[in-house]
Amino acid sequence: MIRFLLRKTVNIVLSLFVLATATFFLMKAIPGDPFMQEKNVPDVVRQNLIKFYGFDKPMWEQYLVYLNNLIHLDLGMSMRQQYQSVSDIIARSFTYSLQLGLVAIVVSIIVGIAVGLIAALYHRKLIDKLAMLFATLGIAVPNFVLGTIIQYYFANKFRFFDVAGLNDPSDFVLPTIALSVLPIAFIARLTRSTMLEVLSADYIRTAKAKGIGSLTILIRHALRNGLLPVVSYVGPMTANIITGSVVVESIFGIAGLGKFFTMSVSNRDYTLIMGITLFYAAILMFARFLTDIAYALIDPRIKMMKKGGGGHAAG
Amino acid sequence: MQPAEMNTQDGHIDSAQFARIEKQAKVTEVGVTRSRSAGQEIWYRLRTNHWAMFGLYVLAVVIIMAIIGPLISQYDYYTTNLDATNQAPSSEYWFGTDNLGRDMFSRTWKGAQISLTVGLAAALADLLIGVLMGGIMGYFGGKVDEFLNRFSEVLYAIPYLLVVILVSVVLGSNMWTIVLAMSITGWINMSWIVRGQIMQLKNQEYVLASRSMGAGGFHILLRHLVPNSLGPIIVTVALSVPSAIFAEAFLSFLGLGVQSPAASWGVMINDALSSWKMYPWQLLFPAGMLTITMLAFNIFGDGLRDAFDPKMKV
Repeated sequence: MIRFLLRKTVNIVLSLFVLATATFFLMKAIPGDPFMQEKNVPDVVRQNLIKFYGFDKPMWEQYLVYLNNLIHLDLGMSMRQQYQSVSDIIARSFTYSLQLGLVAIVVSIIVGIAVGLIAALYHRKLIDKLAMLFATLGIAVPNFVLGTIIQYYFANKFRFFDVAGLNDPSDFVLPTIALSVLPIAFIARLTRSTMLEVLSADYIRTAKAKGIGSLTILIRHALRNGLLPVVSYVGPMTANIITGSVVVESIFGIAGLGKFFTMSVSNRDYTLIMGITLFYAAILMFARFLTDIAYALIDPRIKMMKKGGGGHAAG
Repeated sequence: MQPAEMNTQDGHIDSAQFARIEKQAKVTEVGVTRSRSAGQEIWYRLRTNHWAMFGLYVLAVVIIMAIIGPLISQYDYYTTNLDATNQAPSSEYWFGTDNLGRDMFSRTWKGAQISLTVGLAAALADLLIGVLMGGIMGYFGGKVDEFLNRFSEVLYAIPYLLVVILVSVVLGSNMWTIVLAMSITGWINMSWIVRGQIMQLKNQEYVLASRSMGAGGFHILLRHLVPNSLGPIIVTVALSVPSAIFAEAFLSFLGLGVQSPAASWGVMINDALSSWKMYPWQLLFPAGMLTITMLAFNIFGDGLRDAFDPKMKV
C-alpha cells in the first residue's frame, strides 16, 4: 500500500512538473510579448511592464523564478485583470466552482446509480429501454447545447429559475442538470451492466435459496459488488464535470473558475491560463488519487497497480 | 442436430420435415454459427444488432451528405449575402441562412466534412501512435515497458481538454493543429489496451512456434500480436472518433476551433448562440447534426464491442 501511494504521489508531482514546464515554454513560444496587442502604450510604460513581469531576464532565469514561485504557490499576476494575482482570482472563483461541482457530483452519483439499478431490475422491460435511451442520448448531446436550451426554456421563457448567477439554492438547478447529464448517463450504463452481471451470479442465487428478502439481497449482496466500477469512474467524472463547468459557467454567468478560464483563453491572459491549467490539473490528479485509494481499499483483489481509467474527458 | 439425424435414418424425407429441420437449426443457432469464421461471426452479430446497424446507416448518410451536400445546394458555404441574412428555411435556402446570409445547408454539410475529418484524423493518429507504443511496451516488456508506462502515466494525468486548449492557444487554430493537440495525449488509452492484449497474447503457443522458426520481434508483433488484438483496437477507435468530434466542437465553442469562413459544427453553434432565440434554425441544424452523429458513433461503437466480445453483452 505504501509503495503504491508513493508511486502515485511521485507520478502526480512529475505530471505537474511536466505540465508546468510545458505551459511555461509553450507560452514563451508565442511570438512577441503579451503587451504587443496594447496600442498607445508609451515606450517607457512598456519597458516597465516587461521589467515588472521579468521578461527582460534570460529564459532559464525566468524559468527558475517561475518554478520557485510555483513551489510557493505564487502563480504570478494576471495580465489582463488589473492588480489581481492569479492565486487570488483562482481562490475567489473556485468557491463557486467547488459548490457547483460538488452538487453535480453528488447528483450524478445518486441519480446515475438509481437509474442504472432500476434499468437492471427491469431488464428488457420498457423502463429499461427508456433508461438506456436516455443514457445514450445523454452521452451524445453536447452540454453546451443542452445548457443553452434548458436555460432558454426554464429561465427565459417560463421563468422557473433565474437566468444567471449563483445566489440562492434554486440557481443551482439548471447548471447542475447541464453538468450532470453526461456523468449520469455514464454511471447509469455502468451500474446497469455490472448489476446485471452480479444479479446472475451464483451467490445471489444462494442468497435467494436461503430465503433472504429481495431488498436485503439487493442492498447487502448485489450493490456492494455492483458499485465497484462506479467508484473507479469518480476520477474521470471529476474531469468531465470540471471541463463541463468551463462551458456551463459561461452560459449561466457564474463567476467560477471555468468562466475565468474561458475569459483568459479568449483575451490571451497567459499567466491566468497557465495558473488555471495547473490548478485544474492538480485537482484532477488529486481526485484520481483518491479514487485509486478508495478502489484499492474497497476491493482487496485489486493489485495496487495502474488502473486504466475511463478514457477522454469528453467520454 | 439430434432430431435431424434421426429423421434421415427413416429413409424418406418429405418437405414438412425439411421445414422442421430448418426450424431446429435456428433453435440450435450456437451450433450453427460455430462453423463460421471469426470474422463472419462478428459480422453476423453486428448485422443482427438493429441498433448498431441503425447507427451505421445514419453514419453512412452523414458521410455521404458531407461529401455531396455542399455540392447539391446552389449556394456555397462561404459567400455572404447581406440581402438574405437570417432567412428561415425555405425552398430557396433549405436550412435557412445565418447572420451573414450564408447558406446553412451548405455550411451544415461543410461542417460535417470538417468535424468528421477532425474526428477520423484524431482517431487515426491515436491508433498509429497507440498501437506502436502499446506494442513496444507489451512486447519488449522489462525496462522499456517500465519507462514508457511511467511516461504515459505522467502524460495521462494531464487532462485531455486542457492540453488541447493549451496547444491550440499557442499554435493557433486550424483543423490540423487541433488534430495534433488531440493526439498528444489521445494515444495513451489505446496504448494501454494494446499493451494489455499483447502481454496476454505473447505467451501463447503460436508465438513460441513462430519464434522457434526464427521470426524476428517486429515480424511477430505485426503478423501475430497486432492482428489478434484487433477487436479491442477497432472498438476503441470507433469510440474515440465521437470524443474527438466533441472536443473540436468544444474548442470551437471557446473560440479556439477552425476559423471563419470555414464551418465546423462547433463554430456554427457558437455563432448561433447569441441570436438563436430569434433564429432557432441556426442552432438547430448544427447542434442536431452534432448530436445525431455522436449518437450514431456511440451506438455503433457499442454494437461493435458487443460483436467482438459477446461475453460483455448484457
